[in-house]
Amino acid sequence: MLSDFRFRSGQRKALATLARVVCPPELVTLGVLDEVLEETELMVRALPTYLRTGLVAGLTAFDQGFRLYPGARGKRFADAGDLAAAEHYYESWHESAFPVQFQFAKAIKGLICFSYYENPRVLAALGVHGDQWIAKVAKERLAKYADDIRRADAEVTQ
Amino acid sequence: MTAGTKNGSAARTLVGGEILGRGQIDRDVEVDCDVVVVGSGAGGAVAAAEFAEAGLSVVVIEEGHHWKTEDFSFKPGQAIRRMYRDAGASMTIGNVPVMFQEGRAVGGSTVINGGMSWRTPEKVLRKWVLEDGLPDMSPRDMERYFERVEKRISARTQDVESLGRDTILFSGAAKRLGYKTIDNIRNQVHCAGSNNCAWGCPTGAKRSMLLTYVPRAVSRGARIFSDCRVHKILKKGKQALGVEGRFLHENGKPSHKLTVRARLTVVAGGSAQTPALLWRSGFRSPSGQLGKNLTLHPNGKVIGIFDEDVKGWTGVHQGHQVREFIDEGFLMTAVNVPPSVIAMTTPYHGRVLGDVMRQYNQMVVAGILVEDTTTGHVKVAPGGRPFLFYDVTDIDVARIKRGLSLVCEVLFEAGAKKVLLPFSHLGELQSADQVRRIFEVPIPKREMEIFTVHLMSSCRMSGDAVRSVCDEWGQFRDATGLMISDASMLPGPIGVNPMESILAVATRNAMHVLETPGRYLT
Amino acid sequence: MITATETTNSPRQMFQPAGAGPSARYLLLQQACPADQEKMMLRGERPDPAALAGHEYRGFNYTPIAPALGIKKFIKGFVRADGPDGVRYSGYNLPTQQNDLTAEWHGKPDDARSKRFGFYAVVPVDARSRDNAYLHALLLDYGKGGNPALDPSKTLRDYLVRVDPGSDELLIGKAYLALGPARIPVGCFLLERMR
Repeated sequence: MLSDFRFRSGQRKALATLARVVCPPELVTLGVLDEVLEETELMVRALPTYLRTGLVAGLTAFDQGFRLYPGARGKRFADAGDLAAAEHYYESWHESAFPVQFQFAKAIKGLICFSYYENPRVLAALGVHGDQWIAKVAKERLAKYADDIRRADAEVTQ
Repeated sequence: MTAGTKNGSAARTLVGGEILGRGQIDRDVEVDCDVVVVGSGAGGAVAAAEFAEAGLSVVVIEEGHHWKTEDFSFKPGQAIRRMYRDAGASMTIGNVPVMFQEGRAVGGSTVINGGMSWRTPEKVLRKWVLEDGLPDMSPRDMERYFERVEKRISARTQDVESLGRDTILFSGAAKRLGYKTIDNIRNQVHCAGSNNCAWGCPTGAKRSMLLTYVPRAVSRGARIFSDCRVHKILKKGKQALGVEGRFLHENGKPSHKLTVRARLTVVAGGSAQTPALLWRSGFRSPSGQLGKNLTLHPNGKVIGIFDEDVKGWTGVHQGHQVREFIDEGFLMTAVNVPPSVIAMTTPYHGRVLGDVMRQYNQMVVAGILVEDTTTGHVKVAPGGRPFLFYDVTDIDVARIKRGLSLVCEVLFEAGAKKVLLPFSHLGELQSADQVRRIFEVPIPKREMEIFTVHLMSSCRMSGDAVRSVCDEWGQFRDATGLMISDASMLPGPIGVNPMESILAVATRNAMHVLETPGRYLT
Repeated sequence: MITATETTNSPRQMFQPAGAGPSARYLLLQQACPADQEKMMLRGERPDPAALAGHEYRGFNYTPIAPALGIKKFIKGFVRADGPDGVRYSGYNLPTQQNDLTAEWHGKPDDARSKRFGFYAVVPVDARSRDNAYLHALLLDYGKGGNPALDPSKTLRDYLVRVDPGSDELLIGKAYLALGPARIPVGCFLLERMR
């Protein structure tokens, strides 16, 4: 089930900066940032309302909280020019003793990295060709075991 | 079966043997039948098929969508959004959050599980007989039910060509170490080794309920309504009279109403949803046990990295299990996980993550399943959503650590050059000699990454009314015409994958109803 | 429905001289705490009304206020009536001497002259009815016992189960007060077949 939720442009911008921090550099070189953000948004839309609300609230706090971080020069995370500072800031949340900060950092990183490694071009670069493998073994299965499969299918309703 | 429409237009006779969902329902629906089943997973599908085969009119209501074999592909994200309740983000509340998954689709969690088909271990059945007042559940008593379900789900060992390099490496090493290792028995017909079990079998080889008991029920006239969430059980006093629910739009918003009146209501929503539905409907257990006794088989995993190409995604999801330590409360196995899930759950990010993930094709992911020594409980929040509370005990933490240390040992024996642990501060292990680090360095509970797909026993059955929610036949104790048929009815943890136990117990209980219809079908 | 005259005027066929007194087990079970009383209620089977009919049971009220009300000890009897609508089961209470708990139960003023009161119908619990607290029990419905109009015993509802599986010798019950739609638990009581 996908709710009607959509990220606002400011939230999307913060996610884009975060993606550049938590994903490998190939996010940029493969040019998949927008696709990763779309996939992330789809995953967030599938979350239950209470989790999504918490995540979005956490993102807002994370985004705005950057203003107070050394090296931020008063900018929000979405506008962070210095990626090193942005990464340190993310890590400060991930290492935080406060469970809320730690859990948010873990969750948002998990969602974004999940989405990154769902991307077909990223998978291809890794040498993972799941759908091709499925097509190959499905064909081989039918070729070798057609009669047995047919028999088993008929037994389902007997 | 007849159905009426809310606007008073003439009732039309429903043709049995259909699956209808959103897109096919354009008005409120009312149905009368003998048996209504809420949920189409392992327990619900069995109940539906057994009752339909006996000639009863059966309606099944499933919250999830009716996805078919041709809808499944190597897209874990899409599968999670479609078929995992709450996008798989459910977590218990406690000292260590345990991530758990519940399937939501026609066929229930069996559409997304690994398909391991094990009989309930004899020592567990004997415990149920002796301690839980279930005299008709000895291994001999249960034999006929196991045989029946095994035939219907095609429980068999894998064809050799379906085994992946990861499972061969892991099981080979375990055997060299002298550990008892068995071939997995799974519900499959010539599994192709597509390794897509958790995202829906794209070849039709895995014989989930979607491809077995559901079509069996439909062929005998059962009517299945998908995309429909039951929000309450109808009742008069303590007699269940049927259910009421709403069809759901794709965005989860409620649509038309469904009312089903039945002589027997079977609740099969799983260990989180079943107690929640009972609670929302005003049913309470006089024993106070409703929602309690939750067990969940905590799982943990590590990642071994090899020099050779393993390509764990080319081969069956799980080919073997190491049972050497089952009396200590855990088993071990290699189980491939897609890159997205690994990236999500490892503690790395950025360039380091990329470096680790570039080795994906050289990875063997292996883990443990622990028979838990404690129980949690399900509580229902205002609004009716269930929340699970569970504290991992020190004993189970010790089992997890011991189990993972043994997994590391097996991986190094198999030739792993390093093993990545799920604890960020412990880094990587470069040899078997370093495994002891797991025990030397304290591991903060928040670092532990524990997950499960086996929620059980929150509405446990027992011959003792003081310790149970259901009687020895799965009948809810404080009601008539109400039965439970899912993992929540199991008396306690099993220590192995529970699907076949659920199928067999559901069969047993359904047959008991059919043998004494005057008592249950009022 | 049993009428009051029907039961008060019926011959005292069940009158017998006092027996051997309460059993040791009965006296031991009188010590059960409320939690254990409830466990016995949950675990009990439905008694067989046919097996109860024709017998009187010595009764013991666990309720703390029972001595003040003079009902710590009581006697319950069960009867069977065959009518045009089939077999019906019912019962009654007997005023009882409040002597020592280890001594035999006797009617008040004596066994020959104690007068039946507090009549009830004996029926299986109907899940659909308001009185459905213990679905596996027998219901002693004082509202259908034919008691006089202003008799307060009409408000009582007792649930009865066996203490031991398969045996109607020892029974445990729980009493409720029916006040409108409300059902107020009063307490448990213990029965042992006397004569």
